[in-house]
Amino acid sequence: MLPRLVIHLGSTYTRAFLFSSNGQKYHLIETQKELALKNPSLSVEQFKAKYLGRFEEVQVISSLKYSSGGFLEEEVFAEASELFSKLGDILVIDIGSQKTAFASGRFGKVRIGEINLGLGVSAGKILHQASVEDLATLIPYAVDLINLQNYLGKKILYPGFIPFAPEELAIEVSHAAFILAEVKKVVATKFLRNESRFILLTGEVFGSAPSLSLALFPFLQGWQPTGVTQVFVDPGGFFYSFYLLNDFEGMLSQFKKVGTLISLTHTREKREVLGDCSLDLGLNEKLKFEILAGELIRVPFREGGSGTLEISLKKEVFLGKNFAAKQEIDGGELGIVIDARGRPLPKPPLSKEGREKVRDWLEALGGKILC
Amino acid sequence: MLTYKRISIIPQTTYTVTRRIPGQGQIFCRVGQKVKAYEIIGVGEKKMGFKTLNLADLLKVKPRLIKNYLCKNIGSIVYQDEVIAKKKEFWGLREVKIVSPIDGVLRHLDEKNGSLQLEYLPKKVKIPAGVSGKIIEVEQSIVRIETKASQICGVIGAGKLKEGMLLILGRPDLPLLAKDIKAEMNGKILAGGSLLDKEVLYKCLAMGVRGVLCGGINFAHYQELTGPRGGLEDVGLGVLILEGFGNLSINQLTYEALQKINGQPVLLYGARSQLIVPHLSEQNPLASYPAKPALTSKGLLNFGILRLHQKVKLLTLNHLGLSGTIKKLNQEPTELPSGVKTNTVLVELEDGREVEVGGWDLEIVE
Repeated sequence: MLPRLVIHLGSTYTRAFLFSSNGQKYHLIETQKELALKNPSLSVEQFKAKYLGRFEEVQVISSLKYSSGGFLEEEVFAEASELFSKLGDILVIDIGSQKTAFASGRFGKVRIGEINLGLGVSAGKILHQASVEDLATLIPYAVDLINLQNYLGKKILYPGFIPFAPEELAIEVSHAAFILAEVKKVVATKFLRNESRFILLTGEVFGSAPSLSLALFPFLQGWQPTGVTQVFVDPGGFFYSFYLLNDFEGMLSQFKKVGTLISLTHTREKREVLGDCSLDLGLNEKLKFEILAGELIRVPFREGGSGTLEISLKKEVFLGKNFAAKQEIDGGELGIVIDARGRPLPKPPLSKEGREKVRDWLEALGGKILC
Repeated sequence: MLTYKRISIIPQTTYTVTRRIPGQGQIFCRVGQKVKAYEIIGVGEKKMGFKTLNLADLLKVKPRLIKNYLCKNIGSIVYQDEVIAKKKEFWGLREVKIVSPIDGVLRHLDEKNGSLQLEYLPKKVKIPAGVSGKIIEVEQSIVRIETKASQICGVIGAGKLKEGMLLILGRPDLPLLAKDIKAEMNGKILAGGSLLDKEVLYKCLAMGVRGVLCGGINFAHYQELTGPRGGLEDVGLGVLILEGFGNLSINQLTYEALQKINGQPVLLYGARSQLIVPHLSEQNPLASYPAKPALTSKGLLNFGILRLHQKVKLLTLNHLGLSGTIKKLNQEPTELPSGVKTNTVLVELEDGREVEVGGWDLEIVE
């Protein structure tokens, strides 16, 4: 096993991962990200020069067949998703600059797809799917619609732009939510499935989010998961590079574990009792409480912790097709999140009241966008 | 650290201008010949359209019989007031004559409705070189002239290649106003203003303006203007946006360059985001700007390595369009006001303020 350099050429960023080996296992030593040059060979040479003498093998992942030793991004995505599906019923979403790739399946049988919506080069395309007012509804402050559109235009010209102002971050988060809503439509119609147990969110918008709450929020709003799901966030594009090492454990260890998300489907009025919940998180006593319609609750539960969820629901309140009333749950950085807002989620109005609602939801997840 | 880099002015480059000789014309130049801008390189024919006369109605005869009354064959040339059809009435005592209203060609007779189509004689048009340079190719009706030129580069644009005299309009830091677009600007390429809106664009189209250069445009207007084909769409005039989306002043460097070439003939290629300034003589008005390689080459050209004391333009919402100088490059990731952590740089703005921004939240300006 020779020290290895993995270079992932994206449409906006190029990432390099330097791995050393002790003869049995690879260890990630260093990772770097640069803007992708128009000429991919130059990007590769640039990283090779940077790590000169520290690697003996190079592997390149790119959207076009780069060279005889190169790997196609689409193929790596499919195979890495298969590897991830060792966990069970999975969903992987990678929001890129130009497109969004997704994979869904279980235990090695995975279907993949992609849509031409992204947060960079194709940023303007979201306006064919959603109006600018729609995008503004998920922003927790009064936004100038012209600025919002101009921000999308700026991302087309400078896809590597990092949200500097809180307003810019809020636009990005809302944009991601609407992309996820579009992905869900495709998955629901083509794959005929919309419930997965293990979710992996990868891409710059999730990986660079200031907090996991802000990574989870667009997923909750856009995808609107149902049932009991465990959510992981890939903070630095490790999904692709660790697949090339065929290192499932290594891959999982790099992901941030958000925690367990419990989402109920109902159409009840706000504050109506939906059922009872009991959480055994290994404390002195069980946590027991009523779940009220419209609530979004976060219960901190340490990462690595394992507990039991018991839930009894009233009529016409559902947890999902394949989810038992009593089951094991895992902790994470956010812990346990119970989403009792119903499905489909109510669309916040484009008003002060709507903005307050979005702010409340964000705060319930433990996150906020300072403005 | 690599970041975005913009080259606003390329003072010395070569550009190939294509001239088409319309219709069945004549070309007066040959490959290798040097030409001046005012020299006529060919004469072409411009089609002027058709005129239709309903002879059956005018002569009061059945359409299928009308050919019997024609005095000229189809395909022959006729001149204004020349008789093209006649009919005798009252046992030959009176003659009704139809004369040609134009100089033209009898193109087609429709025996179903008795109408005669007359084509105007094509008008001869002289084609000047328009630029000084060397003829590098002469095809059937195409002449290609290689000329020395300067180039002003924008960020986005739209429209096909348009030619005209450059006219500076308004201030570089205030939006263009529709009321400032006047009839005498017909055929001109206008430059100025910080924002180009729909109203101004419509007024430009109405006044026959060939192109507009401006600091910024709102993304929604740009999308409306270009449609799904983006900048390649022929929008009726050339549009070149020099700074980006939003209300953005034209940067000082570019504006000074535009002032130097005010009144000169220019070529605006919106789809390529370029303004080409052919050199009228050996003197290059933009010679004082540092020489840069052509933008078409691949590689590091649209990116540059961030260094201390570099001039940069900020892209962040709070400082959009402001320029400054790199004062410090931070080695460790720093948290931005949004909470996102990234490699940052300290920029000293022109007004003396200092701001720390992400290394990819700016562009190097040269």
